[in-house]
Amino acid sequence: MLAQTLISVGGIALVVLLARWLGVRRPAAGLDAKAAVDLAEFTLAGFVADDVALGADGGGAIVSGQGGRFALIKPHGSHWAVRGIAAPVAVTVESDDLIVDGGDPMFGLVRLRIGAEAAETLAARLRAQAG
Amino acid sequence: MQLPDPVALAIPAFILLMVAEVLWVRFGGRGEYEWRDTATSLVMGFGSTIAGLITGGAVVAAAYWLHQFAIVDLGWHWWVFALCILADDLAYYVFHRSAHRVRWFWAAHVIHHSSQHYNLSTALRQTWTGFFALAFIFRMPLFLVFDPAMVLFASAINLVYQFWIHTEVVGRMPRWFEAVMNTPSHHRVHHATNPRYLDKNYAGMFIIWDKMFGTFEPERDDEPCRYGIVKNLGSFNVLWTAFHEWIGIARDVWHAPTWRARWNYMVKPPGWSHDGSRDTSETIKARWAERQARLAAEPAE
Repeated sequence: MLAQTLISVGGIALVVLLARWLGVRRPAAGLDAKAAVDLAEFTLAGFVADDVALGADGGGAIVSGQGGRFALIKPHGSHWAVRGIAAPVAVTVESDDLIVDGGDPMFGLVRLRIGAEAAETLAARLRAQAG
Repeated sequence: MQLPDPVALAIPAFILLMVAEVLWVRFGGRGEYEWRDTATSLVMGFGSTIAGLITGGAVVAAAYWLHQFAIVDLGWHWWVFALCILADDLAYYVFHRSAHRVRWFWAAHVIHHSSQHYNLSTALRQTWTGFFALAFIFRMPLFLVFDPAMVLFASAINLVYQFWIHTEVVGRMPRWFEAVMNTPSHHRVHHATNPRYLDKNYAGMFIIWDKMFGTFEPERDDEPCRYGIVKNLGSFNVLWTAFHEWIGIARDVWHAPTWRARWNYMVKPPGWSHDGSRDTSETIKARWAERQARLAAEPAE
């Protein structure tokens, strides 16, 4: 039992460290507008994209959809994770960044560098959605 | 009869095969590893064995208690082993299908599907709450026919078999093999969230049950699999991975407007809601089919 446990723990450490050191973690494939739309429409059933706000630093995107729907996209390891946003949406603007709280604490806040004007405009739409 | 533990014997092989797969991917082979995802998967697997050690005694005791009411004594012939493996695999199919269609069972099983990657470490991404979910009940009828030690051995064989099918390294096996056995190709479909692939290919060892019961879907080269769950976690936190769906059930039951809704939040398919505000696999497939029809009807540009 002890030997089996030690082998298991050692094996876990070996595989994880090997995966990290050999650099097989690929950063999330570049997110452009087309990829963001594809992600949003694939993940959220019935979602039809209208507009995309891409984070300039590769931090994710918000895709605006028909019917007042939004898709929040963030990098998750070498993939992207998507959340459909529903009212109320808590948003903050910090200089060029729009910070969105999708309501899932384990998903976390998503910070998008989209420029001050775009951030204010989108924040107003997201807050209005909550109203 | 004293039988060996196939899982314990297979652990060194699991480790060596994962190392080989990591090296294969590193040097250009098909597949992908994200070290944090792998760490989460392997910690889930280790935790699952701990949970099994804690609760296994109760399952074994129940098995032997039930076996005293056995309706037949088939003995220990080789063909009884073969029959037991087949019967155990059918029981696995029934359990696995229920684990995708009944939220209570899904809450334990979703852990295994929660990775957005598909490699050998995903195979070990196992639940901590299988006993709490009562997943063992699906094998209980087998103890009325076969010796518990034989059934437990068969289920361990089934588990070990399913390790190697969790990979993108293997494309397709020979046609005769693909026709009968569960394979990496068939199981990639099972782990995919593409609407076409949702709730398909529940097989353990033999794909024949899916073909018999209408849940088979072949992998298509023009539709690569995207792995994970409909609402991906976006987190590598092991505790969240282990318990998120149970927390979701608790929240929904607490806020449900009626007792019937409370019950349904536990037993209806994942995604069911009393107000229809969420998506089940049926609604996802229906909307996808509508979209496909709409795209097909649009004039070519």
